[in-house]
Amino acid sequence: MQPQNRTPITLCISSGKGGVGKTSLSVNFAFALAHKSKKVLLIDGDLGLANIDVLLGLQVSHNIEEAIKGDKAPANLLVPIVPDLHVLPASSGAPQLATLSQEKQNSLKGILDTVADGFDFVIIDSAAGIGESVLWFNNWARKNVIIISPDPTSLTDAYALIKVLYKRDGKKIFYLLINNAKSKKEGLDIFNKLSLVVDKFLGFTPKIFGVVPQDSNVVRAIRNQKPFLLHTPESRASRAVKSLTTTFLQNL
Amino acid sequence: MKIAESGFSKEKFLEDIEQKAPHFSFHTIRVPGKNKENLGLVLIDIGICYEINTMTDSKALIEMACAGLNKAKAEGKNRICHVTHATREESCHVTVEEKADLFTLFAS
Repeated sequence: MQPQNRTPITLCISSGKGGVGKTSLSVNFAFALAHKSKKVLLIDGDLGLANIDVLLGLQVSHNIEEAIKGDKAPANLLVPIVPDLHVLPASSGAPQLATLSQEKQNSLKGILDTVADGFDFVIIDSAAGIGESVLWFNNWARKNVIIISPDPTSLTDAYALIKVLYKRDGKKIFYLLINNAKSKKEGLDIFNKLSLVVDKFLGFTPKIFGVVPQDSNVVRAIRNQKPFLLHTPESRASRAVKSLTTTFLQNL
Repeated sequence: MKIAESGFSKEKFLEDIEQKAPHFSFHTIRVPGKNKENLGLVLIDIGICYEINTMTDSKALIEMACAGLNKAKAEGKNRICHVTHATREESCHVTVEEKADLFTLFAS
């Protein structure tokens, strides 16, 4: 049963570039929070290309599209995963949802505000790129997390996303998570250097969310359709996600 | 022989490409990088970026750059940013200078 009367902390996890581990990290971060007895709602923000249900091996028969169309009450679409974690799935192959009309935006806001009530945290795993739905979810959420992998295109696309959100929506607080780093040192190095570029051209400094190292266990877990936190709880990636979750909660 | 070894001339390159694609601005063209043997980047206008050390043919480089620039022109100069209503001063477009700094993160 969904808990009531809580105002959640809302995070949108984006990246700019696709394929940097956004969904995997969103899922595992959600699990890490749930393991700490936080009530978590994980929303698949890739509206027409569902990923979270695939990553978790879920068989879902209903998704957010039905709520947007008004066919189903939003609360009835939530899929319980483990105690304290629910998922609101997206649809697959519904291209019209990838761009939000004003009417759909209004409908979606109402849906999110309704389903979010009662959770401690709402995490949105956004689509890749800087399309309208990505910008919309980032605007709706209070905290914006950007996933970066250590390669030039990921950095450029992440920077582009930060710049758009700053110029268009006035966002100035961004949390950067460096994924697939060779080492913590490399991750922090990239964070520091990107921060310098953001500060130089945009006038503010992002914050570090964490560094997750390269880990072959991640791919194995994905193939098994399980979060790596459950599949290999003592792996490097799992320990990093647990650590950044602890730090995140301490800094609230 | 690679361009960098053959005595690549930035000025000649600029002159050549301006003749082939006069409708683009080339106010910024740089070959940055602390260690030029390992990283030579040519950045043009909206950010077409090529690692010149891996090119063997300057003509091919110019053709690739023109193709990229023409594609960008067709897509709109703000192809990096999908918000088309932004004015020039408020542009979300990632500039060549920003891209140069981002790419040199990997040079040091």
